[in-house]
Amino acid sequence: MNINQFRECLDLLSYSGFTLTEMESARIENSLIILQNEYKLCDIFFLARIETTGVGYYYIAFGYIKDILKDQQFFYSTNGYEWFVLPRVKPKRIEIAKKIKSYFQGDPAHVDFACLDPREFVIEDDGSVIPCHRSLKKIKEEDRLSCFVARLIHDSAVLPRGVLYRQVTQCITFNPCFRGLSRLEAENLKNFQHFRTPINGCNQNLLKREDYNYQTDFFDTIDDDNSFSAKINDRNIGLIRSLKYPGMISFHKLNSMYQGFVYLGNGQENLDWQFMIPI
Amino acid sequence: MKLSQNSCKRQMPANSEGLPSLKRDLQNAKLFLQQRTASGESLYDHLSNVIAKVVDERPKDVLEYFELFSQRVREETFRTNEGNMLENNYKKPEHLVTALKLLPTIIEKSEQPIKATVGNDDETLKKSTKGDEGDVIYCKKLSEDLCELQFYWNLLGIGFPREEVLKLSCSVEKLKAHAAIASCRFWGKMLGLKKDYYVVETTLTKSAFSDWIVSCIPQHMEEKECLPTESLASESNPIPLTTSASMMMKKADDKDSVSDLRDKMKRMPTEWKFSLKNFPVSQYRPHTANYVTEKEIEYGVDRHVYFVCTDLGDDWIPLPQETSHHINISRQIKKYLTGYLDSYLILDSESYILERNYLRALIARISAGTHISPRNFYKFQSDDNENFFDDLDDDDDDDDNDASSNNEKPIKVNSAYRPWSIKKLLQLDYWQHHKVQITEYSNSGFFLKKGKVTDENDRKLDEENNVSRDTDDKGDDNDDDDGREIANNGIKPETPIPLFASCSGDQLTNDAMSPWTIRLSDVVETLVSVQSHVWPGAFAFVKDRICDNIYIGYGLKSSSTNATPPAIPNETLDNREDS
Repeated sequence: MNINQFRECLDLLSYSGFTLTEMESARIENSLIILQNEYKLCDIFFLARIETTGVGYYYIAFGYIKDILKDQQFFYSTNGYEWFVLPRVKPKRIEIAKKIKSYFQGDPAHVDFACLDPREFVIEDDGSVIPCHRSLKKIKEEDRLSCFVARLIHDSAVLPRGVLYRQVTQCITFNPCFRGLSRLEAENLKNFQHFRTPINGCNQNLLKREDYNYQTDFFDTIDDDNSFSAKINDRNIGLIRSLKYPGMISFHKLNSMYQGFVYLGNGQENLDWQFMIPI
Repeated sequence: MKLSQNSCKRQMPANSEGLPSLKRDLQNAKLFLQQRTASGESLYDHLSNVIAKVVDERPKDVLEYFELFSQRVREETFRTNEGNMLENNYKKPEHLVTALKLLPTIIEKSEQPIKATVGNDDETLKKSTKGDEGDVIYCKKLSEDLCELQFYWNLLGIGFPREEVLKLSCSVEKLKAHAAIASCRFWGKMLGLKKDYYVVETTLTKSAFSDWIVSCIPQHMEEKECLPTESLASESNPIPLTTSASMMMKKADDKDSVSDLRDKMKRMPTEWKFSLKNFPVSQYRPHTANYVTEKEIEYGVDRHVYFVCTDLGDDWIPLPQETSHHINISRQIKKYLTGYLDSYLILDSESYILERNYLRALIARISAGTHISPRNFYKFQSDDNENFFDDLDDDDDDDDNDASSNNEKPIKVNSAYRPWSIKKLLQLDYWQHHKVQITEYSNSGFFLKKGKVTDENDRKLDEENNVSRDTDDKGDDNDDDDGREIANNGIKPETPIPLFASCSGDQLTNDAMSPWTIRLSDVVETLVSVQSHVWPGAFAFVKDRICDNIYIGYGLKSSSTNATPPAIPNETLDNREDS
């Protein structure tokens, strides 16, 4: 949700049933604009509000300097106006973070333990099975948060086709020509793309369309994985919900440039989504 | 340009036709550019269009995205061409259908003038027109409850935008106008894959309710008769093993059907006969047993009737009353709703459920788990000695004297309720459930007390499948153990959970965290909201004397582990019939 279109996007978001409260949005909007200035970011986006076990939330934002996919800089906040840099993601940490199923605690310094290898365990005197001390890995909640955010974006952030494009210099930025999808286009999931560095081959993505355009169509489209439910309401607002991360909503007002994605959820992945779709 | 031409002329003294000249080159180049393609366009037109557009619009840094810009211009020309071709064909506006649906509901009401005083209509949406008399205001009065409650939800960042609230209240108003409906309340929204359900909780008038109960029962019976597996078996000619097996299980007690099956086996090819020779025939009777009675439906989990619709403006569709069977199955299923009431959700060959029944069971479970209010906000309707006027709605007059436990008494808003202080409201002790809790055997205490004994097998099965991960809100480990003993002995039931139980006793089954989070609104001081972690998406709020519950979500109960489908019941494997 681009901070320049924050209010418009919040209106669109409210069609999903959840939105930010007035106070929250005011805090976030103003503090993010200041943050953008401090870090000299090209654009800044509000990404997520994650519930914790306590009363508070984690707020996540990200910005970029030049290339929107490569130069991302993530920030988090526990109160909505003091922002801290989120640590970099490491593949090892992602493995550990995947194992932890509990809610976030709300304290960035909190340390969680996860057992990477379930085969290594010790049987106590009273019969209870506990994982072996050796295989226990610890992870700070801050790191866990960054891993969660990385996976969230990788799996479930969606943009309409044509929002991003690759310049001749291979730099990926926003397309100022984007004027929205038409209703006919929006009904086809091929016109929505993952917000990530494509993992499918370039040819595979291009060959999906007859009228492909090198600059915009090299992204992965979302029709391959069935983990989205798309609806268009009678106000011409398209809402795409992720089934994998309940609470992740991508919205787009048809025939306009307003689009974005926001996660308002509890930080839990739905592990069963593949079995929950009717055959 | 002129300069260069002059310089050229100097170089070329004679400008005869055969000799090269700049003018001719330019003409040639222009002719080349003006060559028309199959579509009738030429590059010359396009370039001039693009340049004109750049000069007109003056976009910033157009060079950076010139390819895209040019592409857009080209697309636009196609669009206008298309428009010209179809000029004579009229195209209907996109939202004509919704407008046609909605307008009657808005107009219909405003034609019935209501005399309203100016004072008491804040926060109600109204269209007022001055009548002939000066002091009478004809106003369209929407269900102000709904609008007001939605206003508070919006303050909390939950609920729908104003425009949708208006639509919703128009639509609910239409339902309310029906004679059979005594009161209704917006319950929430169930999200589906294709469509979402708006759910309204209604109380029917007494006569209408008894009619409704009667009308519910044949529906259930019909469903049992048309099991999907049977139809499968009859269609496929060589019966596949699995279907024939499930058929046997279905009708094991029915001798005719067994002999039918044997006949069918004889007709099978020889290689099939081999495997079916000693095929186990089960005594297991699936959960379609005959205990779905009027009583059970009537004294089911709650006596509300729920209406759903997927598009606001459509007719509201009543959901059938829930039964313990449906609730049990819904506990085993973890599936997304599709948005079509008549679709099937299939768990295995035994258990399947119509989406409307599943939805109803979910609503019952969610209501039981998450409908909470501050302590003393509601009270039983029967023990009011002081206020007769609060009992104006005589629909649920309690003549059921046989209701031995408290759970069957209808409740109402306590007129003597004094708002608790904010400090107290922030503690869970001051919140209570006001819906009957669903017990382990998935019904209210009343039904169990009446002694309708379910099959012991069924009970065991239910228990294995549910109890460990799903006893709505009340799953202490101790409770589970008690339940198991009872089931094994076949002796009768646990005491029903009392109605106004405090929320502080609730537990999440797998986690150490509290199942509720209480938050104070950051905008309005006295607004307190409670969020459920058992059913993510369920909320309650209280402000002074206003209290409401809402649910917006997929109907998924939170679990930190994967959902495991129940194992195939042992009965199907153990009991063999000697042939």
